[in-house]
Amino acid sequence: MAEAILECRNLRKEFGGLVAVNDVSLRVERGRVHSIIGPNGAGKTTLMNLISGIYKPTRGEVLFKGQPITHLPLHRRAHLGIGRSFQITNIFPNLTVLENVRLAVQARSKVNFNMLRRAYSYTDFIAEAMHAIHQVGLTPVASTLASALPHGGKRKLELAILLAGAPELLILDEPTAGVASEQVREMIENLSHIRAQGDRTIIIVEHNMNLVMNVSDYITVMHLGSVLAEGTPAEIAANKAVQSAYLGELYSDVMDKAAGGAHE
Amino acid sequence: MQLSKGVSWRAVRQNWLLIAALILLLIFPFLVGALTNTDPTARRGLAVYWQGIAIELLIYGILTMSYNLLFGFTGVISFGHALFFGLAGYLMGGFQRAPELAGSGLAIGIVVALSVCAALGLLIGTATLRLKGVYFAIFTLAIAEMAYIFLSRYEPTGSEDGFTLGALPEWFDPTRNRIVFYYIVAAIFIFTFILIRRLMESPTGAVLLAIRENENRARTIGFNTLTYKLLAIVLAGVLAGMAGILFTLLNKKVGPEMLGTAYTVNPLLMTIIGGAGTLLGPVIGAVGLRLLELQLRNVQIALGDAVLDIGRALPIILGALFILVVLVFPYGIVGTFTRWRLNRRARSAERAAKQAEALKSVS
Repeated sequence: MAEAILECRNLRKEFGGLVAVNDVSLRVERGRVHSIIGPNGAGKTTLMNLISGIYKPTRGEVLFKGQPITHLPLHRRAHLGIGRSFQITNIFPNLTVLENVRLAVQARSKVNFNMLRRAYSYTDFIAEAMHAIHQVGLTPVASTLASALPHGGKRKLELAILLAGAPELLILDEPTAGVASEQVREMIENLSHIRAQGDRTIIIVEHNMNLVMNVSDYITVMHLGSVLAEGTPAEIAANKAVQSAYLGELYSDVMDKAAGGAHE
Repeated sequence: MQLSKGVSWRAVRQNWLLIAALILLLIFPFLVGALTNTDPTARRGLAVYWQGIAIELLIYGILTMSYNLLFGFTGVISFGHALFFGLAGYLMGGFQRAPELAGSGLAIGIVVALSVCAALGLLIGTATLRLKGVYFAIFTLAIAEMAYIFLSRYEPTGSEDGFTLGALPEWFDPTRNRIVFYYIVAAIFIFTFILIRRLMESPTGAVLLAIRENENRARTIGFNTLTYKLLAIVLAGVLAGMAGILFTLLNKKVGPEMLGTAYTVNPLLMTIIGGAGTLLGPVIGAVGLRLLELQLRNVQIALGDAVLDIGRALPIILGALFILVVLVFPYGIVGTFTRWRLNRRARSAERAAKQAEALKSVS
């Protein structure tokens, strides 16, 4: 078995009487694309918030590279190498695209409290930021305000901010939420490209089955706060419990195709 | 020497407005002296009167710039800014007039006042900056109002009358040697402007803007935002304290009204009208509004038998102006102008791209 970059042990989160995440144990192996799927309210985003540090768990443990990080604040986890994007577009609206990404590069440097130099005199930061912007295809709009981008552009910017932070573990919360279908294809290409480079581990929370089946190495299915099933895309597609509990008839043809592909 | 290089000329061209303002600031006492035909170094006269107005405007400018550092650049709304302004005045005044300190009271007072402002900023920030938006604002308002009520009833500092300062050294005394005081205030004003400008161009300033734009995102990419907010509140507190010290020296008097909401709300309005989050906006807002207020204070308009007292209606007029600005120019004077210029540049770039495309398709 490959080395686990992230482990959750019996993670539990209660909001008042509601158990959003119910004793979830999760093992994410280094270099893989690991998707988390499940119907709305399954606790996927809450689980991501526990991993990235937005929430503290009621019980349980989170380990990153074997070290417990359960009680570390958000920014410390970022420095350790956990990067995260959000379901709702979460950028710096009144700054330029370049500045949005440049900040992420600066964040992992040691110059943040230097008040004597100009931020733009660190040309290597700008070069790194432009590289990330190029990777997602936003180079022509690098100097526009982020708020002026169309929705799809904002999602790409979100990915660029994430890449610029050079995290070892990327958490993508519904990268295609509200994105037009042709841009989903671009997103799949972007993710496949990152996956091919092989130096990043990615956790994706996603509803778009096309994307999930295309890019994932491993899938965890959540339902009502617990893990319902785990396995490769083909295993999940063939899993009758998953089909009836979550996918229903809606995705059956996609599933059949994926399952069929696995048998061939 | 530097000017012979092309790069430096570009810097001059880009900053021509600031350089012009700097020159005006430096020659102002002599300019009004020449214009009014009075001696700018005398004790009284029109030139000296206008120096007094200019000093007050510059002090308001410092106070508003410090407010803008918090509100405009970091996105932290404080309703307690007057606390730093007034408390620094009281502390400096208290040491200055203490007879046992003789000649050194003023210097000690200034150092103590600024240190207390820094410590107070750190304290309030640590205790409350975890509170979001309006809760932080209300907390700061409560602290400032508590200090206001306490000082207006505290007899050793003269209750609601406050107290007057002891005798100041002659060269420094704004009533006897106003031109020297003018240049001291102008120097501190220029220093404040340059300090904030350099800060906002530095990596640290970039983080402050990120916090204003989206604090949660700033935390997720790895910034400990609380530390940066503390830095902003301490710096803003010290600068507001500096303004309070200068204001007290100018009036040679301090009173509890300096801790009143007026000295929080005025900088807030001046920042918004001038342009929050811009470098020049707060200065333009402070100077513009204060001048307007001074000019309209004694104006009366006779309409037949009825006399319209503009001076007494001033709060209403300024209130209406504020509503108008918020509705029509939500980014303030400087902010709206910058956006208009950015949009125009973007449009012309778009046009150029379209033309290039059209030419390509023709050929």
